Amino acid sequence: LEASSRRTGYRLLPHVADVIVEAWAPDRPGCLDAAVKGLVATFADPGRAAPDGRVEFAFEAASDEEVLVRLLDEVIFLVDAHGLVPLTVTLVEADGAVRGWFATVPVDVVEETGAVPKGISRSGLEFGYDAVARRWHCRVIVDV
Amino acid sequence: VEIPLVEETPQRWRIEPRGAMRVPGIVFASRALLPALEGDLSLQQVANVATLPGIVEASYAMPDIHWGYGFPIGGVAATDVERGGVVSPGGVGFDISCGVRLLVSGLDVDAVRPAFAQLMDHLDRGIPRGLGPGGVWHLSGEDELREVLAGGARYAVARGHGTERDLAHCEDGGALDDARPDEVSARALARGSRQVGSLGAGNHFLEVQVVDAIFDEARAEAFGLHPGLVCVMIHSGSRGLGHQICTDAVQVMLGRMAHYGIEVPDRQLACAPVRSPEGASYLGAMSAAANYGRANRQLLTEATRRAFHDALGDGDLELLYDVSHNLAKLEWHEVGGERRLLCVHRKGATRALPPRHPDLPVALRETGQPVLIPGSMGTASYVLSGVEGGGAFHSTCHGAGRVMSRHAARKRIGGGALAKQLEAEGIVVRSHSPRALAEEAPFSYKDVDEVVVTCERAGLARRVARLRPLGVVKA
Repeated sequence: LEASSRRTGYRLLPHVADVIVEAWAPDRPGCLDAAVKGLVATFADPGRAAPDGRVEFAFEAASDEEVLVRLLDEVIFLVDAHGLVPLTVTLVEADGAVRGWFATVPVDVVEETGAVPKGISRSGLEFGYDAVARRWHCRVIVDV
Repeated sequence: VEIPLVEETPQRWRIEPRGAMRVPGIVFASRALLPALEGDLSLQQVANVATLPGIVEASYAMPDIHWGYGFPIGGVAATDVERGGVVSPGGVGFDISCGVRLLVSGLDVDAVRPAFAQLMDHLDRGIPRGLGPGGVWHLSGEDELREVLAGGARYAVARGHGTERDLAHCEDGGALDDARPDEVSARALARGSRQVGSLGAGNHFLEVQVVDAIFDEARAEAFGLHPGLVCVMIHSGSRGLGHQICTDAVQVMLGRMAHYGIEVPDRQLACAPVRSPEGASYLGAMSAAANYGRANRQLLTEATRRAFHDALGDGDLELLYDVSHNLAKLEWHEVGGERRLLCVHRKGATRALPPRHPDLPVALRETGQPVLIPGSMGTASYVLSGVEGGGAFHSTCHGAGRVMSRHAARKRIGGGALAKQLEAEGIVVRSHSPRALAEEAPFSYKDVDEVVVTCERAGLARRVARLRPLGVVKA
């Protein structure tokens, strides 16, 4: 359940009925990308699937935590409404405005490996720079 | 932080108010059912809920209590609407109107056995589930989706997807009248547009079951249940649409709590006064999602009837009842000798109306409300009924209650091995994802027998019948 290195990665931790995603990277966009990969890993194994789609997004967020929640909500929305699974995210932030795009594959090319995520909880949310470990770090509880 | 519990009775424990708690916490549980896992914060969550503005009596927890976020799963909390009481979307949960319905066939188990594999194959093909969009009802567009949100199962039946009798046996006659589809966001509509009549994933399931024990002869007869009778239990909710409504409302309320002078110990407890624009907006959207949930279960019912008809030549399945176990409702209750309008949140808890309650359909007036309790996969499920003087605003448990994480369950057993084990017990499994199946292994849950006995001893409901699974359809 771990796909990580010391520098960049994610891990999935148990929560009684749901799942916790932790992710980290030297920089903020890398940490968000790792969180997206961690969220996808809760329910799907893309295997060697190569992205064949690109979906853009844009939203406003007033805090670091809000950026994380909104981004992961975008992932859930894509899966649920459009049947697309993001494999990577590229994003640019400026003054609370977040823009970017996901590289996606259709749900039918990935292996379903767990309960599909349905929402991101605000409980116990963490996202910020860890000065001791010198890396960005986040943690969310995902409702499945 | 250790939360001290005072034993009031062997089934009732009290958390004394301290800090910002406005009322005590009351946990209905036997000693064995109390949250015991290291790191389980569910008792802290009971205490946190007790801080909500306007909460009355107590922050309650049912015997199947387990760790949620914001509210515990198995939590019941009522706020006084006219005295600043709040509504908290987290107190309803992401899956608004997640619930259970039980269909009763006219067939005994021996009659279905010869063609049972075919029946399971028909259900396997006919019940959409798992990853991505795709329900059995292809709506004509957004206008029709709004009709579903406004009319719930009533609209589904009006379009030919069921009978008037189905509606009489569904909570609220199949639809809440105060739904406001205009309060549902474009994103929620997009998530809901292609999912009406789909099971979802996680702990949602469709099971073919057989009645294997009767505890209350008179009520069982009134419910049309006898040993050996084949039934179908459906557990599903409002799918992505309900989750998006929760997500949207939590975000709005987080931004408005300071305006109302509200502080909460956990951001997932975000709330707003019931009598506020934000509170009214959420309740209108929540009711729309509840209607979607009932329509969803109605369409799954139709698909089940079709499978029974095609495989067995008999699609005559009658709805015993349809309950929601994730909902907030405005209800009148007596509190401190006074009748008050309360916003009753039930998150992983089931309403259980007593006999002669005016909201019951005539056919169930004398028995009390049927309460449907799904057990974990491969174990028993129960039919209970509401009782006079039932506590926690006429509420009871909603299931077995999870004790082991999905992660731990997968480590303990593989999906293939679990499917084999279930088949060895005579339970036929139709699942797309072995790993998703393993996450729902029966040992991940509390003992449902102990949960319902505790509900009965605590005076929350009475046992009527026990059902055991013959076949399981899951993601």
